[in-house]
Amino acid sequence: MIQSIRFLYVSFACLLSGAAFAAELEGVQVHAFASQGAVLTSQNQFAGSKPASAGFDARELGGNISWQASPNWLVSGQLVSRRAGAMDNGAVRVDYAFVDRTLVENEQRNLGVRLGKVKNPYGFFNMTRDVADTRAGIMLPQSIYQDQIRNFFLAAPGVSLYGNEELGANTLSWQVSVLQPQVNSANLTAYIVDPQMGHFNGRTSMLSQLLWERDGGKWRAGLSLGQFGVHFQPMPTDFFGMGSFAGAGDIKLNTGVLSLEHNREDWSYTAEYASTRQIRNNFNVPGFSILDKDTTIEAYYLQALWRFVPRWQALARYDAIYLDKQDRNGTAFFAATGGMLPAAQRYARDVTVGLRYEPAPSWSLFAEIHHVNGGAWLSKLENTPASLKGAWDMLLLQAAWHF
Amino acid sequence: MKLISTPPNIKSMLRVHAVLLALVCAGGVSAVEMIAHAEVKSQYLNINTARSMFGMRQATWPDGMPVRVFVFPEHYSLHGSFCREILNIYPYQLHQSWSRLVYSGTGQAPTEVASEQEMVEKVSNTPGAIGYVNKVISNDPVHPISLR
Repeated sequence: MIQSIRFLYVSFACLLSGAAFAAELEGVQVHAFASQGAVLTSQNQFAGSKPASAGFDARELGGNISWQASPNWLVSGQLVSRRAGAMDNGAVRVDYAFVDRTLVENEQRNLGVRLGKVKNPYGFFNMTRDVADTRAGIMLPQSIYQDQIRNFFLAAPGVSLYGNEELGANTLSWQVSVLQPQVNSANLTAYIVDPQMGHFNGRTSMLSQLLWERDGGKWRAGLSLGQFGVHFQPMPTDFFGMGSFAGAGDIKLNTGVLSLEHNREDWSYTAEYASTRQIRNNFNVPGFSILDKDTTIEAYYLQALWRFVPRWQALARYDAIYLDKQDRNGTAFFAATGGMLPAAQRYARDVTVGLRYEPAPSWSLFAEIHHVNGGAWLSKLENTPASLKGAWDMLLLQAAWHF
Repeated sequence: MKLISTPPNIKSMLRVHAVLLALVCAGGVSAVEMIAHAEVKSQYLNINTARSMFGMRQATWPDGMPVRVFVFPEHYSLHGSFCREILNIYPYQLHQSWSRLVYSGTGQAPTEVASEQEMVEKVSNTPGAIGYVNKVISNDPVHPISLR
């Protein structure tokens, strides 16, 4: 713990002390962000909270440096540390690090390529999800941006081709990435096969996004499409000792997100809908045929943001996820697992209201209340099947800073 | 030690008068004008190109010279007027698009200046620079850019 804090301190001290030096270099920019949250839940655990006992284990810290070496060359890197209860331990990670080469640029279009660890364009918010200033509230809608599988979806080593087309009042932006998903995470294991000792390997995957903006962003729409492949190699002790009988499981995730936003002076309306087909093969664990069951995960949210006076914003959101759209209330799942796993693991409907106040341009203070039915986006590392409660509420507070 | 005091800033006074005149002429609507470094060849930009440049998506002028963007902080009223009257967008949208670039590593933020005097100085001293002021004064060492 002390070592990790020391490493964190040294990493960010190096980054920030480099800022003064970097500011002197032509084309170099340094930016950073930090947040600290408090979480109080009535039932269940989230980001280190315990029922009726506030948790302060929600923290984000990040810093980046970029160098525009010439109009055609950009080099960028960011370090992030995040604490979120059992989901994240604060270890410093390379969030992204890549070289960006612009191949074509004129008034009508640009076209370029990025090589390295690149953020994954998925929905409107995935690429900047750790930066409070870019979010409407403390938490992104968990249906689409689940914190428990954040590391899997966040960024990956690979190559991306991207471009922008200016078509009068319309701008089209696109990106296509071929990547190797990062799967060495207990969160992903818990999410896909419950906590087991086996490990995942990532298969070469693809992700693409098309974004349309009209009138400088008054209307925005997007389509993100991805195909991720992962492979699970069980240990003999996995699946209650059935691991040695199991095959190696293959999971393919075919996922798509439709995004729409309308921005007005005082109001912003955002809606996103995601559908993920989960194709599972070759687990063949005796008694656990559900591991080989294909499902379609359905997720969506509707959100309104109101800038009612300068520096103040109010948020209202309805957010829903169903891990099997054919079994929205989880009863078939409950029966198929012989009552061992609760139906509430399979869905979550979350009504959120929140406030944001900006006391200074670099500072934001947030408060939000969640009224939730279901636990589909709660981490199984924090909530055992026996302890999971279907109906629960959460209060979140957060102070955030960026420059 | 500086023995000779700086004479009153004539340009600043002229700018204040020009703004007042503009306010009277336009019935209270403030004026904002884009400015560029004297060597920038473009006299006009269409609104989409201006949005691309201030949105940090377009990195070069048509002649290949790198674009350097200067802006006032988001809470300055002049920045709000510029966004609404020239770019026809809301200041928070520009801020959001810069944040998306800066924290995903796919681009950089513009350079902020704190006063109109600093804006004129920076734009006049930086090849490829673009910025905006309330009103261009005839002997400012920058050239105005109009919307086409």
